[in-house]
Amino acid sequence: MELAILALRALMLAALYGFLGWAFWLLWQGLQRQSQKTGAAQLPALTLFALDGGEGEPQRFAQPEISVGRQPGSDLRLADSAVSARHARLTYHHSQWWVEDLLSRNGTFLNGERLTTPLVLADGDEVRFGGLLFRVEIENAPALAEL
Amino acid sequence: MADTRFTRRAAIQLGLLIFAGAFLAFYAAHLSLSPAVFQRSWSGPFRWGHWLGLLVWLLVFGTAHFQSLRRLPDHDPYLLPAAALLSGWGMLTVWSLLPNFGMRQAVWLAIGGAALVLGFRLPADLGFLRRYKYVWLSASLLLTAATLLLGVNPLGVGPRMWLGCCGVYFQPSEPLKLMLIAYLAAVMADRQALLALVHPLGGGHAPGAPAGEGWAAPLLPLLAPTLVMAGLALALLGIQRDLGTAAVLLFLYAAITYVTTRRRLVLLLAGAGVAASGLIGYLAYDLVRLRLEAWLDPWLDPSGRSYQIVQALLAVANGGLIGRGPGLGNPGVVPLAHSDLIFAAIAEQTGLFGMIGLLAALALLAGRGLVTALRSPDNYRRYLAAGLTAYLAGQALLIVGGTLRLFPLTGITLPFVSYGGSSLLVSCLALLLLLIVSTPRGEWSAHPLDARPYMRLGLVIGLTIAAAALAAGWWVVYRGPDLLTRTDNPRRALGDLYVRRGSLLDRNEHPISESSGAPGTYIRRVLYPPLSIVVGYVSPVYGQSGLEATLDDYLRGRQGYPFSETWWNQLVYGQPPPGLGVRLALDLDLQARADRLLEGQRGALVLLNANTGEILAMASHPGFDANRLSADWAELVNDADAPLFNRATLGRYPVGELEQLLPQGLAGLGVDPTPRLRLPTGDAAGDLPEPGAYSPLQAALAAAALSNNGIRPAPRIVTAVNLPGSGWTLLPALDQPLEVVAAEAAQRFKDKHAFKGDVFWQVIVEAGTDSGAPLTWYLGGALSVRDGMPLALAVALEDQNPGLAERIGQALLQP
Repeated sequence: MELAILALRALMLAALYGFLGWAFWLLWQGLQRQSQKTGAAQLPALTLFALDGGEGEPQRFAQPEISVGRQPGSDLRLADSAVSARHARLTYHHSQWWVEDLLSRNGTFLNGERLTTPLVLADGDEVRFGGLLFRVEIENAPALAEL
Repeated sequence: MADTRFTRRAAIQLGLLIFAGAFLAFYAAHLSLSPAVFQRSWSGPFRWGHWLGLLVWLLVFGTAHFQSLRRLPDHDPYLLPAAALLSGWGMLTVWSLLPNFGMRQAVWLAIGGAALVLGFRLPADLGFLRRYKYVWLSASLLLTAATLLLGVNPLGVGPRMWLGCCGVYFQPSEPLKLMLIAYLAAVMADRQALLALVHPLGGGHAPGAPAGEGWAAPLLPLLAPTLVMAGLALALLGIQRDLGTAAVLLFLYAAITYVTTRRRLVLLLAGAGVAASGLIGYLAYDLVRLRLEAWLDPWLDPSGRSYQIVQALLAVANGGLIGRGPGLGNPGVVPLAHSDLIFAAIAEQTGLFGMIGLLAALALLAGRGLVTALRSPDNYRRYLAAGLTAYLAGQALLIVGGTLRLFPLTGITLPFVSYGGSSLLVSCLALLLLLIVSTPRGEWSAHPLDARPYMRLGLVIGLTIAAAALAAGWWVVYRGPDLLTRTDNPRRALGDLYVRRGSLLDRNEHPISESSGAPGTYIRRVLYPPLSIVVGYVSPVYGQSGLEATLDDYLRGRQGYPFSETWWNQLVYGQPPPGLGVRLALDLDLQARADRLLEGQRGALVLLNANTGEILAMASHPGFDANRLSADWAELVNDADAPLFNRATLGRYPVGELEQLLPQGLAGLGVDPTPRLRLPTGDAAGDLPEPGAYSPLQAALAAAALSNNGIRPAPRIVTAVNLPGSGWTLLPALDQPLEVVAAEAAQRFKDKHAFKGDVFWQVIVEAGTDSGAPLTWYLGGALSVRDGMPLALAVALEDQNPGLAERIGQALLQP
């Protein structure tokens, strides 16, 4: 009797911890696989070349989100009165670079079209923030078929 | 669509469900045996009813498993098993406490399961929930408001937060939480452009730039509509005094606003809001003040305001490491152990390991909920999943933390686990929405994702879970042994029903007090009731007194057994082995004679063996009958004659001329303070000494010192304990005999007061008190200790009646 009771209690705890142990072990494995995958997948760096007399060097970014605006702290800071304080942002997700206007006064343009929704950027696209025009270069841009 | 493909995810879900089922089956098997374990016999009664609940569980989650594979292919495989484990565990725990409620919980589980399985057909984008957000929330608010007018409480008393009829009750504040989450997620998802403006800039990538909150747009325009709706909900709950739910709503609102706006300002504001509402609540609501005070210092009023939390902590402590086992222990003594405080019952049944297991299951649920949020196809469902996770984890941790005194105790349920139809149904709906959102649909997200707020939310939940686990360990390992010896732990007295308490015997092994009956119904009876005042009582309601209190460890088998035996009994039965018999020095014949003589008087006497110090009779009148304690209690405690007060040891009577009559006076005879005895003698620290006043016990010891050639004996009321294996073993006196006066001086005194043919001496003194209360002392003793049983006696009579005192004394001293 006593041993049966203790055995039941031990089995109960074993089943509980079997449940938890297995679940967390599976999650751990999944995490490792995930990190290997993401480690292999490189973020394609994005470079912006200032066109029509814009100042300075080409700027290269290797981060998933780039903020564009006049205010200090922007990743791409544009000291131009036609650029809003928080003008636009460029983001990388789902294996693509996207450009998104943040309700700027003078608008963001992709290849001459004013943005109303976020759009995908391709290598060689031209983006205009207010009055400043940039050419976009994306390193080892993935083939469209991959998407 | 119709085929249930056997994918990796399907295998994980099935495997985990089988583990959960195995756990529940072992739990149920143990619960079946538990009544027999209480009786300590194989033949004892068994319980079978709860297997019906397990069958319902099996049907519900079996169907949910296959239907979810069919309708929601490749959904998250951890959510359903975690919820299945928690809900099954909860239902069986409820069943172990209250079988009727367990049956109802099984019915609710079936209803919740049906809602879950039918809900698998809902459209994947949950548009109906998003589009009509104001309709859903308003309907919930109206239902909640309706409880103000039509509310009832199924228990008949307490806050009226339920709507119901015909025996079915529903608590509208439960779906209100769900609807508020759906509403907030929809509003935030509809206001993406505004949201983008209030986001802190750049994610801190720019080197040297400070974090960007300073440049972000103000929050108020974005939050204004949600503040109105959430404020309305909070106000309703405030009026209703459903403060636990209000706290959960506040947490939900803060969590959703934080992950959507990513502004830490929200957290600061929410923290300030909690502090402010706590303060307002403290000032405005008695309930809040009570809860906060019980949280800060539960030991102040453990039988009143903090009764619930103290009992919960005692249950946690009694669980120990592996628990008392399902169906064992006494988790039912915790108020609301089946609903709000079910975690205390789980703690007692499954111990620290069970608590950590439950917390880990919660962590699994919360973690997968957040992963679901991160992987959601659009912002609406992302916010929804995050909100649902915050709801399940936040509410669970608030009540678990409350049970472990990590937070103030609030009256909310533990999702999936607690008894309660509304709670279980809403938990199932939350699970349903999470499962739907977690199903990949091959959709793109059009919105960028900043994972950090979700990670931080996960971190907060994770840290709170870790803190709860640490608190559980603290109460079990560090404070546990200490807590369990508290006198307000009802488990010890309840254990007397199942484990036979040792008998108290007189010197000739006639029983004075013994337990009779069968396991489960043992009753303690004092066979010679006039001795109640010395023997005392043991009761779950009134506590313990007298020898029942001082000899408790022997009588309950906690002392006297080898350690391994006590440990094994505690491990298997959660109770000590059968109690040990204790033999007293009292002689029932002499005792009965003493009680007859004092009948109808107020006063006390102590008769002892002057040589050995054994107390042969101890009487204090008026007395009480320990067998009629519950009937007489109110009368006894209000009686001006103090019948519960042992005058023989605790009474202090002025001795008057006695001080001059005795050589060296009473204090010089080594009786002040009273030599230690296994009874309270009124000399403990804190008792006020009364100069010139002594107890009958002290006077009797002084008389014994004179009879015993000037050696004051060590008093003994207990002589032996019946140890397992070695049999009756003598218990030494607690004090040492002491030579206090020269034998010649004692002899001179005895010769002077010798009476009637040189058999004994006596002195009689009238010693009225200053306040005019009459009092007569009689002291007497044997002239010699050479032969027979040399007696010594002190009588204190609260009356001016030397004749009666002499009659009593001589009747006891005469051979």
